[in-house]
Amino acid sequence: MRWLIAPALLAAVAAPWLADPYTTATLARILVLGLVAVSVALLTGVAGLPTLGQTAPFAAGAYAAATLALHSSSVGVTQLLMGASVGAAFAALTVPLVVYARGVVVLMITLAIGELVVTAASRWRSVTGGTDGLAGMPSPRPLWGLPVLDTDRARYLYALAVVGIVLCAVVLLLRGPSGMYLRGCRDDEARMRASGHPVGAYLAIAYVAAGAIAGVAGSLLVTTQQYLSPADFGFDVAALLLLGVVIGGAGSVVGAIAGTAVVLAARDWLSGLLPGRGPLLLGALFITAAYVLPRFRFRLRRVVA
Amino acid sequence: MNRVDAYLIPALDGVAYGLLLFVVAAGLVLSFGVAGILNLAHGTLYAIGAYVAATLSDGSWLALLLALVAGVAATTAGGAALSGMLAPVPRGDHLTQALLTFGVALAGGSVLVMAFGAENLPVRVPATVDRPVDLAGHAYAGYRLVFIAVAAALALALHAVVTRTRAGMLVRAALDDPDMVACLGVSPARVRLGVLAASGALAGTAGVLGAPIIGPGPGTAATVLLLSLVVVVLGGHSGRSSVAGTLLAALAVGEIQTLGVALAPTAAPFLLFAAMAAVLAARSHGLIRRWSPA
Amino acid sequence: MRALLDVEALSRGYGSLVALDRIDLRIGEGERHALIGPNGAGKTTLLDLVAGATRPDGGRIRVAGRDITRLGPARRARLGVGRIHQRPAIWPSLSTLDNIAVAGARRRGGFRRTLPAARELLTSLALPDVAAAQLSHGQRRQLEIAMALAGRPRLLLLDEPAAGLSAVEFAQLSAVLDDLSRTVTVLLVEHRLDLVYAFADRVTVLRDGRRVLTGTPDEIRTSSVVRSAYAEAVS
Repeated sequence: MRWLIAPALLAAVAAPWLADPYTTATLARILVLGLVAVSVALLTGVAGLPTLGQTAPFAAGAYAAATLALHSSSVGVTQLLMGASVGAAFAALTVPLVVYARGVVVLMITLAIGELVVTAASRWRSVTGGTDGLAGMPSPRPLWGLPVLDTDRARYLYALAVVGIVLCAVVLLLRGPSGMYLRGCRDDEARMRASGHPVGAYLAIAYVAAGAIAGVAGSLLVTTQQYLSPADFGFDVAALLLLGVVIGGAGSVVGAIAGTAVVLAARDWLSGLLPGRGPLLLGALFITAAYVLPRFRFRLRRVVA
Repeated sequence: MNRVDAYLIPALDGVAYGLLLFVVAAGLVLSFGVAGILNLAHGTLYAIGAYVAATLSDGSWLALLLALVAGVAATTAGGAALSGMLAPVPRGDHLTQALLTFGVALAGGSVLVMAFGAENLPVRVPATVDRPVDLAGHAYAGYRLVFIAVAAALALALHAVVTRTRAGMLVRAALDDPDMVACLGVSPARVRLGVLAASGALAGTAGVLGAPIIGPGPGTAATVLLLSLVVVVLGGHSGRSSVAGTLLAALAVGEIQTLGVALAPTAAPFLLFAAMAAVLAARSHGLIRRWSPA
Repeated sequence: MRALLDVEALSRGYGSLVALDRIDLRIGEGERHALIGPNGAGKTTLLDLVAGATRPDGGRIRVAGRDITRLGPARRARLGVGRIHQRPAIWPSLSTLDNIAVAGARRRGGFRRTLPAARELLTSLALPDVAAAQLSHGQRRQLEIAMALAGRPRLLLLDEPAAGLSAVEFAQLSAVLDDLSRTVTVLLVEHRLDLVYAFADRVTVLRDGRRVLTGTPDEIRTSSVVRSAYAEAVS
């Protein structure tokens, strides 16, 4: 599949000149969700912690970056750092909930965390604007001294650059010992311990890193969508991301982006087919995917608790 | 005096809510603990029961009974259908189970909205109990008291089934050691069917009887699923603690959602978070001390 | 010679079943000590307890004078306790070289620093550098030994290393064990008595969770106590 990367990259860079602004904005959103999917793949496929809750640090980073954008800084890098830190901090706070469980219990716990965050976002009007959400975030300048990103094309390219950099960093890191340690924890945790490795610490680090990645995506969401609401972080988004990761090959972070693009494109196409019947067709998509996809061979280890 | 009384009502509401969640969560514990199936369509089955109750109940006990029979039949059939759909999925493949059952929940939810509209439907309660009952100087909804009694009886019945019948013994054994079920010579397909049908029946019972408490609407399935998942996570799902643990967790969640909200309205979603964190942290601390091998 | 492994009054039960009943055992530094006994005697339980995979109900375990009873398996491994499991535990998705390097990384200051030693172990145990999933059973056993050795263990726990090996593989295993430096103390659980008698300095016989006898291979071989222990288990 390697040979697809170069043409895909080319197409990705050329896209904003070939497509209209609306499509460009849509593609930017796909990139943003693709980055969240990268964090899902890191946990689910590499570390063996299947998650339906990466929407939580995604939301945390997004609202934090939005607050920053609305009240003080309009510099992209600052917003990115804000998103990353808040996403990581949120993950660090919820690590004790997640890291002692294994397998499908992690799915349940992360699902609950994600949903509770959405509920909190809907109620915490003073910070998040409640169900009305936050709007009117001004377009940022990527760096001090650079021009403001005031076109869809500019915002798209910015998102593409950020996603590209983060993705490269993750891929390079996973090629080295860190990736092996995480895969070792996934494949045989007892063996890791018998070799002296602190499994809990490794998984916690991976979880916090995934939170940071999702937080960066959150700040990108603010830049590209310029509007936030709790609906952006609902459970259906988490499920779509999981589907995208599974389609892309669970252990592959690059595949996660491609898989997410496929899933989102399918969703938009389906809602266009029969307006108003979106969820029905989406449900059918999930069911079909469950049957058609090559069987996901990972056996989730049984829960320790 | 007044302050205590003011919280009596929400506390009692919490018991009703908690018992409702218990019946729902018991179904999830059953399907997850025994057959290893994470059923994300469980909330949808509850919603079906609630919609049946909303449609059929007209204020008479007969209508309620009819709704119960029809609702439970529908959800049991739904559970059986899910079991059939899950047949090609390997037992340990929880991700595919999650995707499949989520798809069913999405599609099912859409069908329900198409059939019943996108509004929250009102549910008529049998007329004889549709009036306030005097409780220590406060008026309390009569139906809720009846519901508490019925749900408590149901909980006792479940406990009896699990501890005293052969099927119950199999359930407890399977909860302790799922691999053992295969060795007992029971076909996994039949286990799956039985478990999902029973779990559907529980969801339907809760849906029909609990509709006046958590009524049918577009968000019902998701709310019920989330809360029962929290109950399952908190209550544990090993054989030793199945009924008692689930009941305690359900009552706790019920109280948090009612009494907790009354005491600290802005902190409500965080309360549930905090409760989850506290329980999981305590349990993992116990884990470390007990040293179960990974 | 100071005892490297000092097990004192170690007990472990599962419900009403007593797996180990106040076992005392002392193994000197550099000693090769074998544990034999009929099935259910508690041999693997003892290894599990020393490795930290389970916790004892009573008693103490000391390694090089240090009380490790309350330490987890990862801590013990970092202190130099290495282990081979009855069913070879390896990481199938990594290459054989990476398996060895990862296994030794914590004791040798990191993955990259372990690579040279890992390559040496790879060659000395005649293992191919392939994806570990492709290895045969005997090769996996060899790989696990390499992984344990990569951690420069002070105490090596071997759980039936000869089980399931062909004649050729068994000869290779014997050679590897013979070549082991005397800086490594070995506790070996084995059913194959030819390996035990050839390799061990001292042998302990366990039965029903109790220590029946400890002695040199000759003493054990000629002991009537041992024969009756095995015979009773069989009848």
